Amino acid sequence: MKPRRITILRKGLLVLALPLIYQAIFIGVLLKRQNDLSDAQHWAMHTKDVIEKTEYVFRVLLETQSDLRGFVLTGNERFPEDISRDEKILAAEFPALKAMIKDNPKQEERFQRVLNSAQARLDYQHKIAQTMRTEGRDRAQEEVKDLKGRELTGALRTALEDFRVAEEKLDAARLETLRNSMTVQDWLLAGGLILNVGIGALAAMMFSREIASRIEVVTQNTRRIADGKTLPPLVRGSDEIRDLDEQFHSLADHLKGARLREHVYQEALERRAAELTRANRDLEQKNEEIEIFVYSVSHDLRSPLVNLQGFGRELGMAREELQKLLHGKLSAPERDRALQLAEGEMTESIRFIQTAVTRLSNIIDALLRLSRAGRVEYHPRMVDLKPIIERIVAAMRGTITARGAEVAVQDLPQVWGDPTAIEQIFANLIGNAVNYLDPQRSGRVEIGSAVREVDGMEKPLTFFVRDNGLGIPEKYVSKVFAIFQRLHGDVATGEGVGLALVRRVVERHGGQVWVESREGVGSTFFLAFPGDAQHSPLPVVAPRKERINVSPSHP
Amino acid sequence: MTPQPVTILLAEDDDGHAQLVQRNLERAGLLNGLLRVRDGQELLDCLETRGGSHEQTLDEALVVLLDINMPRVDGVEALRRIKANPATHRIPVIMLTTTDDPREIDRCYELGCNVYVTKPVAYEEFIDAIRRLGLFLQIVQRPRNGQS
Repeated sequence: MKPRRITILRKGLLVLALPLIYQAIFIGVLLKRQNDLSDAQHWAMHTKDVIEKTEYVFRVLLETQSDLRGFVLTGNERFPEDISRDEKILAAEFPALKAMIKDNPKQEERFQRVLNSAQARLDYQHKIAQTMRTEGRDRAQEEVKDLKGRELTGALRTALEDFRVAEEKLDAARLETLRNSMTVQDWLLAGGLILNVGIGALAAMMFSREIASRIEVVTQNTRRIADGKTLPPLVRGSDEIRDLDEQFHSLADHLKGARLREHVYQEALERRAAELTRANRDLEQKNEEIEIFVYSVSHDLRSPLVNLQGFGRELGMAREELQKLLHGKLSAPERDRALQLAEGEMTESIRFIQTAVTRLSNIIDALLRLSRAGRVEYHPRMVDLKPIIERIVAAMRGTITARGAEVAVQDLPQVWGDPTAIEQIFANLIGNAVNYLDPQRSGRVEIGSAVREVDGMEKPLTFFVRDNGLGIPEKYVSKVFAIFQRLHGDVATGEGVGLALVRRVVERHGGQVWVESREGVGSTFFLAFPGDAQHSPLPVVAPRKERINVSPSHP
Repeated sequence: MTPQPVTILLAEDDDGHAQLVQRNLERAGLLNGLLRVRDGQELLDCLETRGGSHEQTLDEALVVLLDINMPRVDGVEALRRIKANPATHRIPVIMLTTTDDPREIDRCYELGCNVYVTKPVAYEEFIDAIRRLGLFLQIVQRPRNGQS
């Protein structure tokens, strides 16, 4: 069963109704008390009236008594008239008084006694008046002096006193009740007021707890949504505020989803932008390389071509001259000239032509190697460098011994890459180090790895090949990796393609190569590789049995 | 006025090129006074020992033929140093190289080279260039002291 919903309207009504209901009850109670009070007042007044009336009746009775005496003494007829007037008054007052005390049976009883005493007294007075008329003044005077009159008056006085005292007691009791009533009413008013304030406060608290504080939570939630913060659990209750909060929660979830998607898109975008920037930089670098390459090719290919053409032509000219000489009869100087041509100039030309052809062929081979280094399919794996470097050093043993050099190899970590390409890199660097040693001092080549962790930052794997050789002049340091740049052309033969090749291969491995060098002190070539397969740009391909063999080049 | 015999200082790392230049300069009639060095450093050393830093040496007529791509100090750098040195900056320098890259040519002229000759691959053109160079060198008048 669905629980009954307590809506804001209901809560509001409740909050409003609570003090109202209380006030209604309070006013009711107050009215009732007021009523009681006026009753009590009425009754107090009533008692006073009764006492007053009693006293009046008693006075009238006493007057009749003194009028009777006056009549007996004087015989003046004015007195009986007064008596009968007073009796008429009494006849009216007695029933009125009786009616007034009808509510109190005990007083009624006492009043009856008063009535009886009064009647007895009146009858006695009638009798004396009668005696006065029938038997004369003296007889009447005697009767007056009789004790009976006094007795009757005493009885009446006693009965009246009794009645009056009882009535006064009643008056005192009623006054007490009235005073109590008024005190109670005072307390009731004060208490009611305090209670009213209390209930008002309670209503305010209820409003605050049930409505205001929860609306505040919802309001804060809207702010939290705007700030992209997480919302607290739903507000309690089942009213519209709860509905509103539920809406906000679902809105927040939507927004969170949207933000997440936005974040994902943003990241993808940034990644793509970074890729593009990198690609752009690579392209710029490649473009520059190509320009240098074209320049170098045009120069370096032209150079032997000039020789080919030149000495080819020289050879032709010498041949013509020789032919001419040989056609005639040779004089001694002509014979000498012919010999000079054949042994000197022609031999020289042929030598230059052969050198040029060899050089051209070497250049073209080098170009092919470099081109292949960019295209050859790599088969990356974790490569153990130790055996590779041992193999390279063994292959160069002859040169190393000839130069009296020493090669030291430290323990090296494994590297992720193509074994053949890695071998090619180290063969080039070690070859260069050995070839460009300074003949003035005993050579030393060191191969090692640099610190991997710097300032708690994981650095890529860094290797170095250090020599104490000729070194590179400062202005050439930036050029050593460009193709066809040959610094020590006189020291060793080569096409100036080795370091260009090294850079190409290292970059394809996602690594970097750079050099620190001082002329006359030595050079250190550094190689940085990504630490593992995850950071390597090389695609992981299944190793194949057949390998494209890239022969390591020695500059 | 008879032209003063000039000494030609040829800086060329390629033996073949040097030989071709020499042979054809001889054919063009410049039979004497060719001195060949193998790179820029050697050229600068040579100018130094010849007293390039002293005014008196400028009595001797001197022309430099300079290749660009050379080991150690290349032709452009050698040119820059010759033209930067007050003692040698009046020596005529002829760039003789395989490169016809316009930027390189501009650079050489900016640095103060007097003539720029591209070594043509075609032999006839090469010979021709050298011959014309020979003719040119024959009429080169070294400015005398204080006459600049």
